[in-house]
Amino acid sequence: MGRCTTLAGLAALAALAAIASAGPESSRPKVTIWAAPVPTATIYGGLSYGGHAPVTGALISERRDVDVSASGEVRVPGVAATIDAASVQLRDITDPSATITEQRFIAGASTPTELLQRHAGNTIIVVTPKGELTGVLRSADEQVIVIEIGSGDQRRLQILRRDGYVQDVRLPAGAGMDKPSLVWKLASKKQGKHTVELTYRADGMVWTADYLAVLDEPGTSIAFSAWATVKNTTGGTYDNAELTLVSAGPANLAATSNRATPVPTRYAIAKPVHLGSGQSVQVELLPTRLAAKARSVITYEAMPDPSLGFQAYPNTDCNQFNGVGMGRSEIAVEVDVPTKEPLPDGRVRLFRKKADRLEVISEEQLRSSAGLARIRVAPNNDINGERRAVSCNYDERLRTVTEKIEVKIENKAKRASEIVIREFAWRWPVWRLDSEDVKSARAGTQTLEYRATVPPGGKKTVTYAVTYTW
Amino acid sequence: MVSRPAILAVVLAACARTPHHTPQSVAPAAVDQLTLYRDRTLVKQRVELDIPTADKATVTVRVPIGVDVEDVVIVDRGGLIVSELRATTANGKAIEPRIEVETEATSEDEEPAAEEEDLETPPPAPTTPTEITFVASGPKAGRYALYLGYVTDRIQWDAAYTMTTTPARSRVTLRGAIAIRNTTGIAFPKARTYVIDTELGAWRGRLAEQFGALLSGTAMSGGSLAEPRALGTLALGTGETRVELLPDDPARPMKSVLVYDPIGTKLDHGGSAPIRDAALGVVPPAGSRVTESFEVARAQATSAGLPGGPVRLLERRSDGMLAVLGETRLFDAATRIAGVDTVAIGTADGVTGKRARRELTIDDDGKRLVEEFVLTLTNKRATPVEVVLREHLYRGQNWTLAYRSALEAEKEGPQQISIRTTVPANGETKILYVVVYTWEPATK
Repeated sequence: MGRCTTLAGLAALAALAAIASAGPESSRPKVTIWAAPVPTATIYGGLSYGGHAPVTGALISERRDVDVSASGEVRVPGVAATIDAASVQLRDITDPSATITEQRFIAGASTPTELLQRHAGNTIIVVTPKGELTGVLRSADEQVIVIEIGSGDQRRLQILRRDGYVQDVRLPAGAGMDKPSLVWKLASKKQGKHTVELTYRADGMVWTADYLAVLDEPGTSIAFSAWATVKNTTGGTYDNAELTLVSAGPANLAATSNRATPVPTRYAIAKPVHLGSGQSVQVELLPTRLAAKARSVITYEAMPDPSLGFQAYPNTDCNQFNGVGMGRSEIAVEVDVPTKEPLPDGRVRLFRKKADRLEVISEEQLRSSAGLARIRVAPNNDINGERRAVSCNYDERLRTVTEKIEVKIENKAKRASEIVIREFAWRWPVWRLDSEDVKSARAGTQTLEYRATVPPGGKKTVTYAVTYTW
Repeated sequence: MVSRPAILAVVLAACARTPHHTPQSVAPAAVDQLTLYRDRTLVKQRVELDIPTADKATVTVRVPIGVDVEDVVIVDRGGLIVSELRATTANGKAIEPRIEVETEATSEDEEPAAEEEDLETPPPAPTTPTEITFVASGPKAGRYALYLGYVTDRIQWDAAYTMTTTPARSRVTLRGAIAIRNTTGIAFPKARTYVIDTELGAWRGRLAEQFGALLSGTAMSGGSLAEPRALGTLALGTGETRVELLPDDPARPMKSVLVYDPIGTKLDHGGSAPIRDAALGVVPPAGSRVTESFEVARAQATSAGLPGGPVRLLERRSDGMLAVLGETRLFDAATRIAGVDTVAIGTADGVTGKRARRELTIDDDGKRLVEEFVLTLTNKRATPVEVVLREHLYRGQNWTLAYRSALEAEKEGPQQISIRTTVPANGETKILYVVVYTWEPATK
């Protein structure tokens, strides 16, 4: 009975704690972080050629209980040191009609000199070999402290050297003056306690995707996990944060009036996360897939993808990049993933269990399309291919380029191979597929994939037509 | 929000249960695993944790100095769900905000100080192990184990050998040891350890090719891979640990031979496309020195996977003193598949060699480079001598011997062959061979 009483008490406490932490849900800070931008692989089409810097950093939204003084001053300490002060938005939940008439950002004090300078005008005690001095701090730098001592006609300034002479400085206890703070003048009908919701953008928070794949010895079964590594160098700590991660798009993809930029993918992390200052945290991006089926495929690219170089202006040269002699085939391992969008770019580490050891096979960039993750293993020499433009027409008046592409591949291996032909609609980001003889899958904003099983010694031809418009 | 009836149900269920929950027993023989490469070590670190009845546990483990959370992967989660991993910086402090410094000219005579904008002090090198904290939950309460995987360059090793013989010089006892230096800041009290004598990147690349060939059902080209050598389960503390490599190796046969190896391995180029420099290997001309050597049979079964290292051949004399006869290296990549090891002890009197190239042809259309060599051995002794000619196919990895005048050429390594021949007393023997290097497949 005693044990049950104890258990009942503990359960009640747990419920109270759950109630306190659970509601209202929005009392947790909400942090939305943009992924680190994908590095561009070409010198063309960069910022100087009409590109733009993608969104970075984090959007942070948190609720605070603040004290509105008679003068309307509100001090909110402990915000991110890297805050973009111009992005601050305030919503006063206690008095929705309250408005900000003035805002100041006070940077954090992290060095002894900065801490001293924050107390300028306050009474301090300085301990020296000759005794203690009490006075008002007037100024401080790396070498000296200036204090005003005495009163009336005895009032004077004393300059004290910090190296060797000043042994100790006692400062009055401050109310979070040393942390990065926002200070507002609020026009509100009510003084006293207010609950406010504060939203701002801050640099110094970034996330990257990392993947892990562990194959069994025959290479037919795979454990695949996806992680997001979040680095918090904002100087602020966010406890129990509701975290949302936003994938990055191509770094030099410029927004223009006639083109929709790809919609970034948002990943809401199910459980609250503690984002400590200076910490790196890894959170699961997707539930781990254990013992999933691993498929081996051969990917063939007739040419490297030049599309990043043609984001600011279209390529209208029908003779360029005909792809002859630039083909590359690689063997890769594929696993199905439960996503409707491609996974974010990131590094994948591939291991293989062999007997009682673990072997490192590769560390590559993950390739992904909707519902699929692909991990490159090694180059492959069994596939020969050729790509040619059957027809190409540039219409200057209509501002279009229409071309028909033919890709022929031959499987020189001694067994049938599942081949993925990767083609790029590289001339311009706005394009449409007019026709194709094999159904393609979209593997990126300008990437098409055609799958075919080719017998040993067999050949396969894929033809498609695409029109670019601007 | 948790409803009160639900809480009551939980309490009643707990009261009705048997009072003491016995933790699950952990799988036996479960230890850390270290794979030592020449430049890095792959660590599979075992972490045991208890999942309480509240079904979530927060565990902090230490990993080596310099390993960050993004370098750590969970290679075996042991039935657990890990939702979060975190690390603080190695010195335990938060990263400080950037400080901008502005300076002003103090007098007319002084040059105005340059504005220092956005100066950022580089972070100090970590000196303490990194603490990784992770949050894990399991299907039920009990004891679980998972494995973290990461690579560190703070475990280094060297191998060295001794061969000891008697004045009869007919048999030799080989002993070796590997010294492992652990500067990770953490100990591995029970680690199943392997050593692979190659760089991790090279090993990984070859493994990837091998695995790719397995997946596609094709034959793999290129040289052999280093073999992993099991060192057993070690207690690897911080500092240096010495492990015997051949504690019970039986004595091996040894015999005296003469060796002509004028080039050595210094010119070996491991790339697939051959070096085309016409002067390679002929300018300066090869030396004529033939060495007196001892040849020791290699027991492939016990020598498999042994890491390369220096060896000293010692002779224990009748008075018990040890004398050094010669030094060389054993088990390097160049001689990975050789059947013998050779230790030079001096110059062979009366026997000289000469190496000359007779032809060099480069065929770009056929993607072939053909080189013909003739080696001449001269014996001024009154008795015939057996000489081992050692040649190195240094231009590249893809080569074939198109012709050789000797009967047998034994491949000793990816770019090394040996040819045995007898030179008559006061006579001369010529050996001719033609090597063909190729690059890219012949048909595409």
